[in-house]
Amino acid sequence: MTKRRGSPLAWGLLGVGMLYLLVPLLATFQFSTQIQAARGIPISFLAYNNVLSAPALAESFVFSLRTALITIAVSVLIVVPTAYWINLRMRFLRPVIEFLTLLPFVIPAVVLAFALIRSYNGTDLTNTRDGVYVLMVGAYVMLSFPYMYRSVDTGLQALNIRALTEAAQSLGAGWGTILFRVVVPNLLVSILNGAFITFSIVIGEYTIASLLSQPGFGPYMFSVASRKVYEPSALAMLSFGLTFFTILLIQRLSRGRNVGTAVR
Amino acid sequence: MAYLDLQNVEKHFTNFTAVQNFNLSVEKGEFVSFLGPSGCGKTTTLRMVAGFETPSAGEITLAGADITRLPANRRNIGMVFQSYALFPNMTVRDNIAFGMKIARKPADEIRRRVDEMLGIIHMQEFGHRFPHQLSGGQQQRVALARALAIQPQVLLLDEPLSALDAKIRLSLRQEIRQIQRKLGITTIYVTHDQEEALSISDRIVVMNKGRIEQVGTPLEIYNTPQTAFVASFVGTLNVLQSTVKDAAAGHVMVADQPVNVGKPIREPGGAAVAVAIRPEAFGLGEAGNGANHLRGTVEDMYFLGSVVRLRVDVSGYTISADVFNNQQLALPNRGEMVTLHFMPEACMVLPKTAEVTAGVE
Amino acid sequence: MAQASQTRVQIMTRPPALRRARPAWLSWNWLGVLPFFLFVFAFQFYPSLSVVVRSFLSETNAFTFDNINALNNDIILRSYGNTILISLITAAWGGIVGFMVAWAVTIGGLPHWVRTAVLSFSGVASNFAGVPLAFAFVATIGQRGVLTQALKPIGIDLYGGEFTLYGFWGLCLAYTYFQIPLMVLVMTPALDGLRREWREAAQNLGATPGQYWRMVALPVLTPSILGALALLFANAFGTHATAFALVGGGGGQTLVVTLMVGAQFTTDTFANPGLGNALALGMIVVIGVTIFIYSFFRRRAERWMRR
Repeated sequence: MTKRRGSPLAWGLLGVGMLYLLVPLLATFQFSTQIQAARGIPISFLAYNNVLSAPALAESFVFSLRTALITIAVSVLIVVPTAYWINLRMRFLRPVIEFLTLLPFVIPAVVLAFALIRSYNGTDLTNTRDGVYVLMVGAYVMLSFPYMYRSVDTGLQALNIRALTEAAQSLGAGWGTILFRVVVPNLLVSILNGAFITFSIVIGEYTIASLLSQPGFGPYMFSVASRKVYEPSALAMLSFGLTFFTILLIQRLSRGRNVGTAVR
Repeated sequence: MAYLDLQNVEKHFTNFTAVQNFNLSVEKGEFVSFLGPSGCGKTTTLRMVAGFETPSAGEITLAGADITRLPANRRNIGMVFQSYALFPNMTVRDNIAFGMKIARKPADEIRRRVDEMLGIIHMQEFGHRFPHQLSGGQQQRVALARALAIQPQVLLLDEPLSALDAKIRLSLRQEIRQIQRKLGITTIYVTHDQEEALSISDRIVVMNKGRIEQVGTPLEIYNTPQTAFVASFVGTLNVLQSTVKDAAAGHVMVADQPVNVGKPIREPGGAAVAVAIRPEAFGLGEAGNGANHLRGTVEDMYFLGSVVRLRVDVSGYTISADVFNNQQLALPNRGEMVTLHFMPEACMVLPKTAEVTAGVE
Repeated sequence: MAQASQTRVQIMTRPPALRRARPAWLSWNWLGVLPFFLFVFAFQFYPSLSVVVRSFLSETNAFTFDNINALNNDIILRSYGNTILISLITAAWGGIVGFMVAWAVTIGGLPHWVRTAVLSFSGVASNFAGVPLAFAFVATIGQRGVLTQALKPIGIDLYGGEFTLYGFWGLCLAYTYFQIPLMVLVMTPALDGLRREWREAAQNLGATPGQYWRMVALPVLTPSILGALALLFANAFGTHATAFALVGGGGGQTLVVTLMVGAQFTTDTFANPGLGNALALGMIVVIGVTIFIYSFFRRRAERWMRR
């Protein structure tokens, strides 16, 4: 039986599914351009203009961007050596790690924020501005950790890390050299992969940022809704576009991975 | 009328032709192998017999009935896949019973047949295991039992041993042949391993680039290859480029040494001709009876257990010569000059088609 | 000369970690993973454990079930009920539609570029949750939404009856938006794992396509499907931002449990600080069980697909 290329049933089912996903996007776009409809201008990008020119947007976006970069840095610094070490020396810990990667799903953002504030209540972490920021970054690292770890782990598996390490050692390399000049360069794609996913998670995050009273992009977006009618949908389109662009980058990178550097 | 007949079968894909001019008659109970390199069309042909591909042209007849366009699930042909393809959600018993369940056989008949099959493959205690609990060899045996349980008219095997360890491969291929003989099932076996094909087949179909190169018994294929491809693909081969000296008498010159190929040559005097000789045709030293002699220097020796393979440099050509290992064997040293003798009948003059892959190891 | 460099290599290749005869698990290797475990402990384990423990403690730090019992309150029970219902409904909707799409791009035989496009889009859409998603739905089926307006001329008045985006069914519709792509992303590899040879082997043994699906494909897929549904359930149960953006603030605080937990930050709604802990504990228990179910089925599925 030869495969039916594009059976009508398949197209039909695809259509139904994609319809549900595309209609809100189209509607939002349409809505965002209606800002001057009352004045007789059917399509106007004034809403986008207003959104992008608001100083508060830049501030909050930069804040979230900075937070995202810090989160990525911390995440990479902790995950990469750990994943390397476990793959190399402590493979028996893999089930433990499997379990830990599921924890952020079991403790969702709202519960985590609540737990952090309550359990560190009375300490510097909750009493000072910087302290709460540390809590937020810590929470974000935990949220992104399953994706970062899985990405790096997959990359390590593909590399045959034991052989690389032994080769490097036989040539006289110490741990630092091995880590920074052998492992990391070969893991760049996996790290970037994890980094982009983390970025995507942190940039638009609302729950933790708002509950910890941080001036992030998520809370900013929310605040726009209370004051404006059309600007929120413009924001939604921009946010979707940003995520879309980020994910596309990830896909481009992953494809490059297959072509490149398999050190044998 | 043979039991299974393929007439002028062809298969074209959008940008290349996988199979063409395929003609074959298989007798009932015969064990036929399709042998060839990857991409030669053997698996495609097998799949056309199974019904997973439809021929672009030609006919396939089984026991007198035309099955060319019959859907795969109505052909009553058993198939064993390279990847075993056991259903992971069913036990060994359920896997074997699957075909009969589909055919709505009564429960006790199913049970009896499954027991019988488990006995044939010697896995009576494994009935309630799941595929992921079995080794590769065990899974393949279950796959075989599953295909045989429906009592098919033809059994097809698609490189069934490729995924297994060398040792299991040897024992399993004997087992497959024994079972096939015992049940008398017409069988087609696809493989790229010539040793496998030679050891268990009644006949071999050697294929290359979608065409049949030669059909014959293992002995015929090995001793009298009809094309350069068959000669080089099956067994190892020494290929010597020579110039014709006397076409009618069959004399050629290999560099500066004369050789008698024992039969008239089609090419005219002065033409370049490839002469092929099997390694086992050589002997050490001088010999009478009209034997040919070639002189050269020993480059290397490989001890292969029952056989010692010498690599001898003869006028710039490297020849592999196999001599039997025995107590009185006086092996030459590396760098020594030796004489190799061989009978004229052992020479094969290859046609001028450039298909020869100089099969010297 | 060779001797000297050989010795040098020997010295250099002795790894920094000391090697002595010790039981395998007790070694300096643990140092390498210490930062990681410390971090996870500080930012996940300790806070979570603290919440769990404190839900059994009264204000005077005495052991009590009072906090747990306080959950036995109409409003709270209804909140849990709503959340469970919404999670079940959106897992079902997302599961069915997502499975259909996943089937279409794998076995359904659609061209390869369609599959790539759908998977990329699903990656984006499954992340498109929270505030922007809420905005998108307001723009679509809010009272002045594009779709709402578009349906009026053909006689459908979305807001003519009891429906509102800012309530139970609105949340269901919004959640489904990221549940569908999540299902697609989880089921596509599972459907890929259905080897072509199984279908051919079944055909070979006389099965029709229907019999193959009923006796082989669906049973093999079932662990993956159940695991995926569990994941979708947990995903919906823990969603906060989307819910808050649609119904939070004011009367909607008690619609779903995540909102109630969030409300503990600002209002201590029931004037009972221990209640927040109990609410959080309840969530952890529900999602914990669900993730356990997911994990169990995923391991089952992997075992079968391994060969």
